[in-house]
Amino acid sequence: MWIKKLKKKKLQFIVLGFILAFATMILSTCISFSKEVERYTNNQYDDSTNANLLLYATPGTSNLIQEKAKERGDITSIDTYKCYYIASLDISHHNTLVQSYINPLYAIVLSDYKDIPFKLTPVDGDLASNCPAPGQVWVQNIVADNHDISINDTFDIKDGNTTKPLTVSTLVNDTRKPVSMTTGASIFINQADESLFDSQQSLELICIKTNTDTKAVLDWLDTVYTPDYHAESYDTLSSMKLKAVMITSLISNLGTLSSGFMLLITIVIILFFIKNTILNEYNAIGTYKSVGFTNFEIMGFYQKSYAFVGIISITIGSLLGLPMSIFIGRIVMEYIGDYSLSKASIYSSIFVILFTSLLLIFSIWFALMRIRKITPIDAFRVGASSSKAKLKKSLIKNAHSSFSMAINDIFKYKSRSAIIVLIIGASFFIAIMLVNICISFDRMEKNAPAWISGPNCDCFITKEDHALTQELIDYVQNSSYVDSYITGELFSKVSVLSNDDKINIKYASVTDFNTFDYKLTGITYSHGRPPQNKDEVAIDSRTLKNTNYDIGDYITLVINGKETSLMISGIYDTMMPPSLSFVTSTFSDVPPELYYTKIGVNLKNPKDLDAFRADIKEHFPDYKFETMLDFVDDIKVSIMSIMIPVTVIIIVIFFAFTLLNMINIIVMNNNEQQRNFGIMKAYGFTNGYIIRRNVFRLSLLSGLGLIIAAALNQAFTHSLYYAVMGVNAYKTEVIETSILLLSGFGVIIAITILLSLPIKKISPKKLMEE
Amino acid sequence: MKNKIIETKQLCKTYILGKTGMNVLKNIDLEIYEGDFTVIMGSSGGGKSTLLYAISSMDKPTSGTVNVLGNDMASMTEKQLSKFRKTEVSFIFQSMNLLHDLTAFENIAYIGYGTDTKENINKKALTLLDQFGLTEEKDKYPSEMSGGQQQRVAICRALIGSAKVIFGDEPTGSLNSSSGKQVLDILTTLNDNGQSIVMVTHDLKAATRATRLLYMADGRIYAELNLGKYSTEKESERKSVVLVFLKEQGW
Repeated sequence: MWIKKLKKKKLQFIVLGFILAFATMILSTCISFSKEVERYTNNQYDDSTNANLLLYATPGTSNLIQEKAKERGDITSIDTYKCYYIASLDISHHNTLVQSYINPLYAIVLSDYKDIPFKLTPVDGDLASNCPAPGQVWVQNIVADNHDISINDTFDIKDGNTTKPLTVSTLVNDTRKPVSMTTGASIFINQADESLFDSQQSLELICIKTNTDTKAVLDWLDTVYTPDYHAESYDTLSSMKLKAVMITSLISNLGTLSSGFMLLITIVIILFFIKNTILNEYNAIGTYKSVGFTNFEIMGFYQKSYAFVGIISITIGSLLGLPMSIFIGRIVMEYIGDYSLSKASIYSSIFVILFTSLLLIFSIWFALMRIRKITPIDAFRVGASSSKAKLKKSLIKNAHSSFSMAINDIFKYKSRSAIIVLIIGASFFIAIMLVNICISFDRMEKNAPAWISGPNCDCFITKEDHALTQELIDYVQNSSYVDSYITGELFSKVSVLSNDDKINIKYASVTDFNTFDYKLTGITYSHGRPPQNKDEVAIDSRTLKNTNYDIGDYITLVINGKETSLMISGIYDTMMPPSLSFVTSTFSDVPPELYYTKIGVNLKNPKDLDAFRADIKEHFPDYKFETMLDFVDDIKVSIMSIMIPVTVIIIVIFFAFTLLNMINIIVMNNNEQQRNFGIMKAYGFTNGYIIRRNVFRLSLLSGLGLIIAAALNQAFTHSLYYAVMGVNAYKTEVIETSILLLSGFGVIIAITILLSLPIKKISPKKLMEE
Repeated sequence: MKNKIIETKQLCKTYILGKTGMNVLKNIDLEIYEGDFTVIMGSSGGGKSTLLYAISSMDKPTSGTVNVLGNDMASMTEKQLSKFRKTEVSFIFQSMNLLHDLTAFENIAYIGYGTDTKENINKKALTLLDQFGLTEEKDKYPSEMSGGQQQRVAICRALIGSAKVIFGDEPTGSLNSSSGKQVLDILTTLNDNGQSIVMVTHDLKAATRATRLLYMADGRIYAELNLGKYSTEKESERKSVVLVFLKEQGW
């Protein structure tokens, strides 16, 4: 009997099967992906051979630390590697100065990558060697992808009057740089090539292993450092790991949210279809009972047919989630390591199959319970061609037009209408969210205030370690291209420290400008305001997280060795904590070449950027002309290379899911209404009228679904984004969102019209054969 | 001299079943006149309903011509047929075929909208409901009414647009004898008032109401009996005449 049911409603079961398969596929993918990423990053970063702390220190610092470490029992090893900070060396790749797009750039002397206390994994080129040979260089894979650096390319180093090439022999994944959000980059050289970098600042890369809290070691090191022997910058294993999982956790969260939605909607749809089927088969059910079938047996027919299709689809979907997990994992983990599946994925796949199967079986059984209340006589009274569905009165009285009848249909068939609105609302909410998240990354440079609390200027003119000259300022001020400008520095070199143990700002980004006026900079804080005078400071939220400081409180900072009390005027979010913002006048006692090196320009017409650039290059050839894009391009490119494919996959699956559901509902509706359509045709209603009624109904419901999707996006996505990314950079782009919604709406209407065309074939003659 | 409202010439209808064709109607020449209560009777499978579909615009013939109220059915477009069904003819089905999601009132009025103003249609619908003793059923759905009530609603629906011809396919077929008699009484009264009716039936009692009885078998019309207007007093006499006629045809 249950096989007959399957055959009779083949199309409906096939579509239901696809819907379930999609839902479990995404769920299985997300769980597998999360588990494997966690496993892999734990393997990479929690390996006991990894150093907990990496310092880029002045030469000799290592000896000092080794001496002082004898007083402590918690530092288990200290490894030191020769390293150079490349500031003024002419290194070109494809005739472009490498430092112009990678800053800071370090060259690390490597003798055996397997011996260093952080993970380097060769991924392309010469995979057999343990280090670059003389004349060769290893490049980080993520940097290579971002800047079109390939195997066998050369870095041409100008050495006096000659140029010496270093050939890129290997690309490596480096756990220190899993994402582009970490600034700067390293290249790895052979000891024989060290002499090429003698003119550059020599540093020590000191790798410290400790069996206690890394922060305690950092704090201790602050007490050990001297003016000659200290770290210029540092990185911790925990922060590297955090950066590694930042994007993966965003994708994991998005995927889990999407799959949760999809599974919920799928269960609701199945319950709806079962309820509908029972209502339409009331008479048949009554007949089964009248000839002696028990409730259990009758429920069994339906249970078996739905469960059979369901379990097969769930199994297929869940198993398909594994290759999908590999596909997405390899994209996301490209610069972290080689993504592969382990037993954890098999177990998670089995879990998904069992969990969703049980959920499905229980839900079906729950929905079938209403069969127990049907009596034979009750069923016979309904008649073969009537439904037991309870009908509501018409909302619009005396309705006749296809539009008014469509409105009445919406309210008469409320559960069906609700399902359509739910499917469209949920699907488009996910789509709007994903598209806008992608755009937020893609337009990072236009939203500098949100990402790095930087000014939104069209361009910046600077000469490193040189204070701005009045000549430059006058030129900019008098330029016909310029609307306004600010002066200061985005990443100044002023030393700002705190005596408060809870505030760690030793390596903070220090921003200072003569003004943070919103009209000139676009900077605004969610908490307080930017500093307006020399006695004020604004600090990032993560730095103040575990402190009691708030707006209006005074904080003592040590600025270039001098203690200063400043009022906290604002607390802001940034993706590069720790971070502080001052007005330039706060640093009046500090040499200007440390903080007064950049002029940020707002053009009258942003399209004049290239003309203005050419103008400045002509009059001030020694100055660097930058845009915010130059600062964030690295980050943007690598994030987008991950976000776009993953987003497209999720959106395509969701659209397919939505369309399948819509097709199922429209076909079900048309089948149920065949008789009514025949009657209407017998009484003179045209095909066009009937089709328009269908289309109006779907249009109104789709429109409502889209409005709900937009509302959900406004209500929730900001908070979700902030929770994962830590910055308020999410914005709903009106044009792109509108295009998305209108396109989706168009597709739904087109499908409705297409699926309504068979109405033309319905003949009133069919009624008479019933 | 009565006006011809329906005329067929060499009307044929063939159904293709698998690889074979079944000729259901065979070269039928038929004339139906205005004001008649024409009943088509015959053995099962004789083609009565097929003939009804063909002359009521619900189906197209395989060959031959069908002219209804001066309209050549074969040359009408789908749109023209829709307008024709809305304004010129009306149908009563055996299984009522009311729209299950509209109330009794709505089933009647909805079909009528477009033929007159809404106000007039609403008034007419209420009048018809009252006329057929259905005022209390006005806001009920078909599933909440008896078979007889549903068929009376169907008749009201057929009358709302002032159709020139009402076609009925076994309108009493699903009803008990009491409801069936009610329906026949209504149809007879309508015919007495000038309404042209063409009906297919198996029911002898229904056949007795005819002013003109056609006998059909094997896709052909074999015989015809003119009875004149029905009256209750002469019912048993009419019944005997009809019975003799039908027996002569082999019914």
